[in-house]
Amino acid sequence: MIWSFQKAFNDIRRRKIRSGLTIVGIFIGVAGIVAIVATARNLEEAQRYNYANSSQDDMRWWVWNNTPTTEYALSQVPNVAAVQRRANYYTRFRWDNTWHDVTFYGLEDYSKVQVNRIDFVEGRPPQSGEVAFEISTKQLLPDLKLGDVITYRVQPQNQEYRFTLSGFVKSPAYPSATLLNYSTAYATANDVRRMLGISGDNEILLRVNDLAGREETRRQVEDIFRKRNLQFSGYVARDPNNFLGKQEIEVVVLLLLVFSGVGLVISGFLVANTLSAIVTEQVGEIGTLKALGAGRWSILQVYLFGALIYGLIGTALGIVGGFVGGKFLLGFLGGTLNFEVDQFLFQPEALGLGVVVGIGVTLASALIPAWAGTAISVREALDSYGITSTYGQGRVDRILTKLQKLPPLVALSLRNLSRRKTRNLITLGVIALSSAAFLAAQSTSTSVDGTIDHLYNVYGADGWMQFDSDVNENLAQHLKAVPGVMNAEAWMRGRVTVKATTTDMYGVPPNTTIYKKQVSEGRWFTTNENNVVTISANLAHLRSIKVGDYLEVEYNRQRETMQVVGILDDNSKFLGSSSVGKVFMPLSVAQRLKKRQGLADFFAIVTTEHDPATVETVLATIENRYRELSPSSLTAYSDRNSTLQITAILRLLLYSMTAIIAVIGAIGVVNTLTLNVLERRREIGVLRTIGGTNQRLVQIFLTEGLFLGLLGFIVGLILGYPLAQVLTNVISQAVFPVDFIFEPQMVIGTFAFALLLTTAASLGPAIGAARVNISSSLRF
Amino acid sequence: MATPTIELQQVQKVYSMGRRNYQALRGVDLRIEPGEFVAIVGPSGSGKSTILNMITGIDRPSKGQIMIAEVNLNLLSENQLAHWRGAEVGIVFQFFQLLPTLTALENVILPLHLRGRRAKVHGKERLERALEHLRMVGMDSHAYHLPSELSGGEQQRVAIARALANDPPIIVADEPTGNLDSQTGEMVFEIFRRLSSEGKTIIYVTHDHDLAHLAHRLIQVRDGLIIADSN
Repeated sequence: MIWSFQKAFNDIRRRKIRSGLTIVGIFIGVAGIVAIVATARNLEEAQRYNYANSSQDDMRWWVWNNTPTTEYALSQVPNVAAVQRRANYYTRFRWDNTWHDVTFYGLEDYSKVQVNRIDFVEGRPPQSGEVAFEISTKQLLPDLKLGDVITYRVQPQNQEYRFTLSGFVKSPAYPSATLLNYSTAYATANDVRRMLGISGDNEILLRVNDLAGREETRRQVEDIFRKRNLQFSGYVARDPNNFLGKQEIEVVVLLLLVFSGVGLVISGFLVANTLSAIVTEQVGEIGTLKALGAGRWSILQVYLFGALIYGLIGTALGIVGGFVGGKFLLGFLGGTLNFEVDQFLFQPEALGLGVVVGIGVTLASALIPAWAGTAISVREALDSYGITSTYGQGRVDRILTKLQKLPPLVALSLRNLSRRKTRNLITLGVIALSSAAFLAAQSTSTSVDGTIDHLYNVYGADGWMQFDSDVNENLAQHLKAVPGVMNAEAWMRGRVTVKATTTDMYGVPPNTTIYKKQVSEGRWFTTNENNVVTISANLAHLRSIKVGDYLEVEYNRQRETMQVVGILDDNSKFLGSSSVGKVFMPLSVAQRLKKRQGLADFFAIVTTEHDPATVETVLATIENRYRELSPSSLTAYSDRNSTLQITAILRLLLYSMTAIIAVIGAIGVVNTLTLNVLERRREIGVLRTIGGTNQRLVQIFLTEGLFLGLLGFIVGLILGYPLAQVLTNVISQAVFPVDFIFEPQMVIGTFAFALLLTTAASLGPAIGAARVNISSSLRF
Repeated sequence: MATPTIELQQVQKVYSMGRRNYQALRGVDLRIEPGEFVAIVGPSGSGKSTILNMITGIDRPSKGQIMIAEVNLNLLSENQLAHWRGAEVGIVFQFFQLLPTLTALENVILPLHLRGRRAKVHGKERLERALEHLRMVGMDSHAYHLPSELSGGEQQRVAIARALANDPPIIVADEPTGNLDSQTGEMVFEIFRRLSSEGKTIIYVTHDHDLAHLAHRLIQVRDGLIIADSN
């Protein structure tokens, strides 16, 4: 037993580079698994902690000009645990000569925040003329500091005012500014009310004792609003099991886990390859040991001990690396979600999984080559000089031999691939998996980007205007007269219920040119139709709705029956949206349903030039011209940037994992070709004796690597296509519907990737072949 | 006097074996004229194969000089030696050393490919020349067979065809019949004799006394020194 261990240890020490590469492979696989499992568990903990400690609101309404008396009345409702009034104003602020989106919250007393807790991490609560920013704003504006002055615009005068930065707060109830792409800022209640032009607040938040009784509480609360003649809308109930960004993070974790799994499988291949190499190299020793009376089991022990040493070192390093990497990953993801993740909790299951997977995969991968290698008879072992010279007996050998027109050097490289079939198949698998991962990463990120492009092309507006209250739809005609505006349309939005599904309603002019409708079935509605809708394909699919069906559309307990005349290819969904699908209807029908005849709450604007500066200028002009209507605007480009922010994170993670897999894959190729060189030292010597120069030898082994790359690419294509579909589906289910895109240039990109990978990995062994000492190789 | 084809001057070769040194050649002087048919004999470990390795540039001397057709092998890099061998020397091994994944014909074409443009034969000509060499050794009917489908004698004849591929003036053979039965050995030796009559310099190492005496010149080696050199 001791001699077995000692021999295994010496074998590993003798092949330092190969052993190092194998350990690196195991390290990466284990570290990936440990980091991701530990991060996922810590995120769950952070989420639980966040929910328990950030006093997030359970219910929320827009309640125009509400006062402390309303707050008191609501606090008397039986299920209500806490009430928070606040003034909320969405605008832009200028800092360092650039405009940024911001939501200002105005609170009366920062020491008595009952719902959506905030903690000051720097500076002090704002006084009149001061503001405190959410700390994550620093991720968008790293140079922002206490004492800085920001300029903001206020309606109805549309004048510019200034705030001095008094502090930074952490508000765990809100996602990071990076995720939202707008900042959250806190000022005094009076300052924000002045922005709004009212004496009271415009938002009410509640926490309840019992979430199950929330519907009854809503009824009671809304009765109070009606009795007090308060204008209210926009009821939002928080899903305790969901939070903004949760689905997206879950997808990211799932994708990382899939990629780590692929990485670990490749690590297993690597171990198998290395063990196969050691066994092959030591065929003579195996023969001698057998001749001296060693049984197969005792010889097998030597190689399994070797694998165990690799596994132990790789796993130990992988666990340490995994926890360190996990801490960084948690910091990154937690920061994005604005979770409090000050400490990274040690996760025993991540440790356990790392050990089981690291050692288990290593031993399992080693068992096959070790078992097969030790099966050799004493005579075969003592006669062998490394590789069989009985080429031509297998079917593949015979097929390859029939390729007579090939130049001998190419034939040599190609036919060598069928000599160590298992090893080359493993290497092929490694390259195929790397190529598949690269292809899937390309297709997934292109699909996501393509969907976002499609979304912003379908909604052809450069900006959107909304007002504090609904305004006359004819305003669209006036907006068209504003310099820089090419087109404007009055729209109406809301949330309706269709077949028990909450969905988004869009009332649009039947002859809209801004909404680039893409009708996949049926037709778009016409000007004279009063009870018709078109619906998005995902809603049609979810509720089995067909063209011609009649639907009951419910808005605020008001129901109307409408006929579906068309299905639209518009499955886009904004981040964090919990609704499914869309219902489009003529503007007049939406106005009737909402009892707002002749009015609109949303205007789509198309500008003559589409660059951000022009769009900003035009929208500012509109805000200025119609300041008495308290307008606020949203630009399509900033909305798009916000969405792209999420996809950038996704892309970064996808390509990082692909890069890691590629590194492990490259190590596999290096290993295989190094073995091929070692085994064929005598052939290399012969090639030298008949005139083979360094360049020719490099060419032979490089060509061999390239053949492996080419075959790996082909198999990678076959695997990568469904993998890309799976990843796109996962994102579609969890984040927003993504149209699967697969383009020829991705195939070309993957081809280049596979060849680059194998060329880079083959170069070392190929140069090594050119350095083989000719006289010793012929003695070998 | 004709320019000597091969000249070894005070060649020594020392192999380092861990803490010990092993002196394989102890100062060999040797001249072989063009067209000579030379046999080198001696017991195992005497240094005869090392002499062949020196002549073919497979190994370098620890001391001394090797001149072949006025080329000082000591001054050539490994790459230059490979080019030189491709043009000037054909080597035949005891265990044939055909590349197992190439057919007989491909094995013979390979040296032409390795010489590239310097081979002065291209495309179809290479194929024809390779077939011609196979015909010369009586193996043209096995041109498309893999080495594993050939007998030992057949493999050695293909190996000789390969050694002749670039039409080198020197053929070096290390125990060329050592792994063949006597009848096949004689057949192979007959080919050497024919090549010698065509003006090629033939140098071979053998243990077989009968075969050694068929050469025009017999060199005996022992303990790293030439102890006898007789015509």
